[in-house]
Amino acid sequence: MKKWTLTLIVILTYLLQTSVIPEFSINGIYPNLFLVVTCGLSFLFGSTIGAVNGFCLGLLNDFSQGRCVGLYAFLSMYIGMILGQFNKRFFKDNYVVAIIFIGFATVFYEVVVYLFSMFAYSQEFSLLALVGKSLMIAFMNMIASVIVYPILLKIHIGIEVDRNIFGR
Amino acid sequence: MKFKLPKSKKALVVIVTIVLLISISFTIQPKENPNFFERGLYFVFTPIQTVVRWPINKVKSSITFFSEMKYYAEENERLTEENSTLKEQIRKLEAAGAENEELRDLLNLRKKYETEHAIVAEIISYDASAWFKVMSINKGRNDGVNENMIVLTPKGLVGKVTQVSDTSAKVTTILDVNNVVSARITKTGDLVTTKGDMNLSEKGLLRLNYVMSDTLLNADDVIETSGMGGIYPKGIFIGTIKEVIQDSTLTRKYALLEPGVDFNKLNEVLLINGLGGEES
Repeated sequence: MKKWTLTLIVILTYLLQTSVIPEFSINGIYPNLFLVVTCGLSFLFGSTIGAVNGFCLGLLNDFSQGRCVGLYAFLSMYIGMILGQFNKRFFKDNYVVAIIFIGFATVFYEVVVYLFSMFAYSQEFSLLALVGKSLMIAFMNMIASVIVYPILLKIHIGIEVDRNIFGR
Repeated sequence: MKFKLPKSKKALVVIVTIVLLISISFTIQPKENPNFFERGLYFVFTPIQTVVRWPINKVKSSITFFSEMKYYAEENERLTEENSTLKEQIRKLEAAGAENEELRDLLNLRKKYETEHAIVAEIISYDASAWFKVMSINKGRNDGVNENMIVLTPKGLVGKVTQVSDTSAKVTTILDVNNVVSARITKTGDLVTTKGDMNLSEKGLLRLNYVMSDTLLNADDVIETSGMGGIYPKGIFIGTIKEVIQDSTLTRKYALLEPGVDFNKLNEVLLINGLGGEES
């Protein structure tokens, strides 16, 4: 049950991110559902599931871009693993903490991608563009997580109930 | 904060990290052919993405149609006038064309170019990154799409095909950092290059490089492909100059270029054959 549900979440996230989410772009910037879901699942299910889902979503992101394979998988896996460490430290139904974590994770993620791309593709450094864009995406991801996190929380509760009652 | 992971899992994380780092170092340069996993991903998801995008594209087209109705009415009036002027010009051209073999050859070439090699494709997905500008289309090798085909719309150049699977293809837009286009200033004929810039792409702008300080370049100047780079044929509209900036060395300047294409409103694109080389 848990494995199938998480696989379905990964597939749905991929479809929504590549085909639907770009329609909500503001100046070409739109939420990164891959990251929102990775952070949400890590926060709810812990490091192992966070890292595995982060790796899978990151790899799909890598393949969907057809560019440098491994960058997003690497980043998402570690973000999933690190955020999963906070799994038992906060109440899972505390949306505000989860959303703040997603905001911080987004800034970290975008800064690493920017710096990597700057060196890899000989781009000029612009602090204004980096800060502006990273904060904008973080803000959008936080807005997206207001919708996504409660859904993930309900799925988490459903899986826990299923496990406790039916032992699956 | 201590990581609470069992030893076996820690070892797995280390192995996966090493594999990913090796993969990153080997795939950092753009490649033309998708790998096995990418082909599998495109094969499975392209039909689903096409279905998901269909209602979105229809709604977008309807919204655009209604919001631009007034514009279309004015445009129609203007085009009717322009049409009669153009008809007059065509009559003159036809008279001259009868005596001009070179013009006739050119016309034949144009007809061939338009009918035999043009493929219409729909955008089915966009990349998730805010820093790169790559999109997928619903036509692939089975439909005659090849690497380095030119992607455009009536409003101007979109980019080029960089990866092709059997059923879909990746288009690297001119906003992407990996896309360099050999261009020229239409007014003066001076050669320049356009390049995507991570710091400008969210504003929908790209950078015009290699502009000598004595080159006459002003805002609203038109930039088109030069045909010199090896891929893009000559004369495709790229965009107009938004701002000219003097380099600190004072020997060169660069400019911010506003593409003719609105990348946020792209639904359908046209693919034509390029010149067959590598853009340099």
